[in-house]
Formats: sequence, C-alpha cells, structure tokens
Amino acid sequence: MGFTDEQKSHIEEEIMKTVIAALKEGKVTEAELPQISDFVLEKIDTLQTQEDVIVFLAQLTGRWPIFSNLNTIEVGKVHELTEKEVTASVLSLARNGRIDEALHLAKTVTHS
Amino acid sequence: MANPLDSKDVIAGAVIERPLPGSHLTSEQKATKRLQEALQAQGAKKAIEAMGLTPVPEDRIKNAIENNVNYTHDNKGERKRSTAEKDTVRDMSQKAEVANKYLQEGFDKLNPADQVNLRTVVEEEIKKSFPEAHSILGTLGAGKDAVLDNMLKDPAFARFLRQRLESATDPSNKLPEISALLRTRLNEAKAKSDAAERERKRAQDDLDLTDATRNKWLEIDPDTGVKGVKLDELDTLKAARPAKETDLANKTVELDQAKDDLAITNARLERMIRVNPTDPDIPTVQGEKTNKQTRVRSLSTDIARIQTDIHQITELENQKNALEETRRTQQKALDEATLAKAAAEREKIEAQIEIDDINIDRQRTQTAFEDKMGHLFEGATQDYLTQRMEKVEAERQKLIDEDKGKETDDRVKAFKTQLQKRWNEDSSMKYKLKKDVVNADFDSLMNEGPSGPIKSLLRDAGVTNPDQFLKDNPSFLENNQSDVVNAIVSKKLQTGKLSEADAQHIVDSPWGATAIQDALSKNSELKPVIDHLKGEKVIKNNKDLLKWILIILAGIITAGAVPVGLAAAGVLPIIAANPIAAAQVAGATGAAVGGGGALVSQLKK
Repeated sequence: MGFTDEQKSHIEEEIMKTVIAALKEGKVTEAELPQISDFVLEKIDTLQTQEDVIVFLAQLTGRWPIFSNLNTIEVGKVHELTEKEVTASVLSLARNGRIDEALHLAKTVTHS
Repeated sequence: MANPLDSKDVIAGAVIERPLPGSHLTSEQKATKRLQEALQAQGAKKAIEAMGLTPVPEDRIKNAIENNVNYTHDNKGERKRSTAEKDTVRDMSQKAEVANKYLQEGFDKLNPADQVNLRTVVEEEIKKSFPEAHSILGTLGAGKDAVLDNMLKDPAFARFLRQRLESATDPSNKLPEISALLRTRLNEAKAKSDAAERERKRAQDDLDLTDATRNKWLEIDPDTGVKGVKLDELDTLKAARPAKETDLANKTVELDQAKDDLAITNARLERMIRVNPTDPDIPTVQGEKTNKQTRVRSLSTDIARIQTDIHQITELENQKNALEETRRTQQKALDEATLAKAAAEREKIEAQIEIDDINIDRQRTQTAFEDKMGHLFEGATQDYLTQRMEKVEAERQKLIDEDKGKETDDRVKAFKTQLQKRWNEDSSMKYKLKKDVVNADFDSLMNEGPSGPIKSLLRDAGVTNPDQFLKDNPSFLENNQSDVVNAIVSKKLQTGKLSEADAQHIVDSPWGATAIQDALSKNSELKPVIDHLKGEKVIKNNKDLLKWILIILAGIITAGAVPVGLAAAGVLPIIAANPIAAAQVAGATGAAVGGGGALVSQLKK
C-alpha cells in the first residue's frame, strides 16, 4: 500500500504540532530542533509504503520520545487502513465466489 | 481513532499565533513563536525546514571562541590576550554573529552590507569550485544577485551553514593547555640549570686561576710566550746540576782532606804545647791551624750552597707537581659541573620541547578554528552544491542500473558499470571526480569523437578488442554515444572550464547535436526551462547559447529531471530547482538572442 502526498502532509503537520507542544512544555530544547529537522527532511521524502512510515515513526520516537503518541496513533491508523483494504478485498473475493482466497486473505489480517 | 494530540489545549494553541508573556522570551519561547508563524503562514513542510534554521546557542559560540583563540595566563592564573588575539576574538565573534543572525532571521533580515558581503563570498566560492558555473553567472547581469539570493534564502543552504557553525564550535575542540605541572617542571629545570651553570663557572674560575699561576711561574704563558720565572730558575738549576754535583763531589773530598789536614795540625799544635809551651813555632802552627779552619768552613759553606741549589730543583719540581695536582682536581670539578649543567639543560630542553609541542598544537588548533569560523558560508556553499551533485549522480547511477537490468549481454553490462564508476573517486564519502580521467576522456572525445572514450570504456569493461566489438555490434556506438558524450561533458563541466573552441567543436559535431537531441527527448521537463531561457532572452548571443547548451547538456545526462540536471553542472541551482525563480532571473536580462545553426534549431523545436 502506497504512502500518499496527503498522508505525508498530515504526518508533517502532526510532527510540527508535537514539536511546538513539546517546546512549550519544556520537553524539547531549541538545540534539538535542527537534528529533528534534518532527520525528518532526510527521511520523509523517501517514504513510499505504509511499512516505511511505520519504520520512520519508530526511528523518530526512538530518538525523541516526544513523538511516542504520534507514533502510536499513526501506526494504529496504518493498521486500520490496512484492515479496511483487506476487508474490502475479502468481501470482493467472497462476492465473486472465491471463498478460499477470501478466507486466506482474512487470516493474514487476523494473524498480524 | 481520535487523535489525543488534537484534544489537548496546548496543541490547539500551538498552531494559533498568540503573544507569549514577558518581553524577554527564552530561546524556546522564541523558537515556539517562530515555528507557530511558519506553520500558519507556510505550512508544515516549511515549518520543519524552519526548525533547521535554529541558531547555534550563544554560549556554545562564546565558549568555542574563548577556548580556541590563543591566550596566556597572568600571575593570578587568569587568561589574558594580546591586542592581536583580542582582534581575532572580535573577528570570530562577528563572523559567528552574522551566521547566527542569518540562521535566526534569514538572509533578508541581514543588513545590506552583510548581504553584499555574503553574495560575494558565495560567488567567490562558486568561482573557485565551479568555474564554469561562475562564468555563466557572469552572463546574467543583475540577475546574478537574484540567483545568489535565492541560494542564500534556501533552507537547505541554511542547514548546511548551521552544520558548519556547529562543527566549528564543537565543544570538544579547544586549545590544549600547558599544565601547571609542566610549567613548574620547566621553571625547576631552569633554576637547576642556572645553579649548575654558576657552579661550573666557579670551577672554571678556579681552574683559570691555577692555570694563570702555573703559566706565570712554571710554564710558558700560551698567550704571551713568556717563560715563567720559576721555570726559568728551574731550567737554569737543572742545566747547572751536573756541574754542581761534580763540584759537590770534589768539594766533599776537599772538605774531608781539609778536615783531616786540620786534625793533623791540631794534633801537632797540641803536642807542641804539651812539650814546650813556649816553643817559638807555636804561633806559626796556630796560624796554619786558623787557615785550615777557614778552609774547612769555606768548603762547608760551598757544599751547603751547592746542596741548597740542588735541593731547590726538587723544591721547584714539587711545587710544580702540587700545582698540577691542584689543577687536575679542579679540572675534575669543572668536568663534573659541566656534566651537571648539561643534565640540567637537557631537562630544561625536554620540558621546553613539550611546551613547544603544545604551543604548536595550540597554533594548529587555532588555525583550524579560524579557518572553519572564517569560511562558514564558503563551506556551506560547497556542501550545498556538492549535495546537489550527489543527488544528480545518484539519479544517474539509478538510470544506468535500470538500463543494465534490461541488458542480457554481460559485456554491455560491464560497459555500463564502467559508465557508472569510471569518473568517480571510490574512496571518498563525498561525491568527487577523478579529474585526470575526466580530462583524458574529454581530450579523447575532442580528438576522436565518441568512439575514442567508448573504446576506453569497453577496454576497461574487459573487451579485449573494442574495434572488433564495435564492428560486430554496429548499433552499439549509436545507442551509447549520447550517454557517453553527455557524461564526459557533464564531468568536465563539474571539474573545470570548457574552452570556447571545445564548446564550438561539440556543438558543431554530429555526435554533439545528437547528444543534445537525445537529452532533450529524454527529459520532457527540460523544455520549460529552455523556453524560459529563450523567451526571456537570457541567452544574449552565440557564445551564451553555446555555454547554456553545454550546461544543460551536462545536467540532462546526469539526472532524470531537468532541475536536478542543471544543478549537477554546479550552475544556477536555484533556477534549476525552481522554474519560477528561473523566470525571475531570466527577466533581469534583456539582450537579444543571438546565434544560429543546428543547435539553435534543436532548441527551438
């Protein structure tokens, strides 16, 4: 599943909100901002799949824990999106009588 | 799923601009305000870029300057600096201040003098590192400043500048200290050396005095050549000694005879007096006795004198020996004092060498610091343009990889691998070119056309007979010549300048025109830029046309996208990255387009 421009803009905005909030709460210093900026700018344009996004957010949180909430939320969204897509595919397969394939696909989600 | 971040008041407030309390904001409050403004006005991406424009903390800069510009210590152990050193501190502070102001407020907020200065600095760096790019800049007239300004306004440039400033102010870099222990060691060694020198001098004085005495009395003075008085006496005595010893022996015999004679006379006189005290001869005999007594005394005196003279020789020789002994003792004392002085001096020198080494290290550290702090914008310019070239190169590599994936002939794959690696330095982390290989291939291209360098590439790809290979594969040359031409011209532009004659030769040659045509056909995004350049009359004459074509050519071959391609040539990166900027810059010039020929027609298509 691809990483859309819309998702990218959303992630960028959430990152900025998180940074501004953390600055106000004293959870991040001004000196750390360039590193965050460099890290995000270096990575964000290279993300192509949802898996890339999960890895990126995990790395971001690993370096700066202020992003842990963002990580949790966005990873949840990615899973939610994946489940929706799989559900739609399962239903489509079932409607077309391809029950075995539908069951197999459904298992990939329930087992993940 | 609801986003808990959105539900927090603090998050809601984060994107709404509102004044923060207090007239003196902390750096974090200032940053918050700046990022809020950027987020609202320019969007999240620009706000993320704005995070990178954070200034380097003042304390870090102050400490770096304090710890990297030379100083000495006063009696209280406080640091002190000479006038020149204070000037260096001031100079470094001013440079850091400009850089930090640039980072904090952007290029537009700098005062006009600083802006002019920075444009000059960046232009000079381009001139030094990318001369062909600089010559193109020179054709833009007033548009040149717009290009430089766009570059200086690019957040990417600012990020490189901040990295340079952070590197220059790295707290781990500081002048090495000369420890108090080492200074004490040197001072003690100096004191020890001075004391040893005093002792040596005293020993030398003693010896000199002894030598002077010896020379005066018992030697021939080496300075005057005058014979010492005692030596003269000794020599005289020694010379007279055999005669005196003979005389002594004779006189001893004579004395013994005289004593015997006197004894006989005495016995005779006693007998005469005992027999006849009135004997008339008695007075005569008494007279004889007196004469003989006188004789004995005279001989005894002579003998004593001779013996004294002989004894004087021994005395003088003893004196001389004693003096020599004294001299030997004093010489030994002098030798010991000299050795002690040498040892103390060695300790002093060793301590001094350690201090000198540290001072050299301090000088080296300061020079490196001054170099970094003094060339922040130059370094950022290099980083900025290099990064662009690295991106272009990565794109070129990717395109060739794709081509290789379609190939089945291993020899062609190896040829394309050569096309990827041939001009790049392998060991460097940064994108660097092997200038000598680039120049050799360029010369080959000029002299033989594309077949020259293509044969070299084939040979290095393991094709033992490139001529036969090209004969067996008639379409190979045609299929690959544009890639090779564009790569070589591109690399040539990145490493130096093209002569007017070479440029003309490329443009006039069929393979040059084909390469340009191929480049145009492979890059649809190029056309808008070409249109800008033609429509806005950036190209004023045939000379400009040639240069621009070659620059574009160089860019095209190294990238899938025109903007990046232009940047690859090290030319007008902002124009390349931003067609709108290109139009702005192009609009600043107004001369008519000149030139003609095949290439003009290619461009006008």
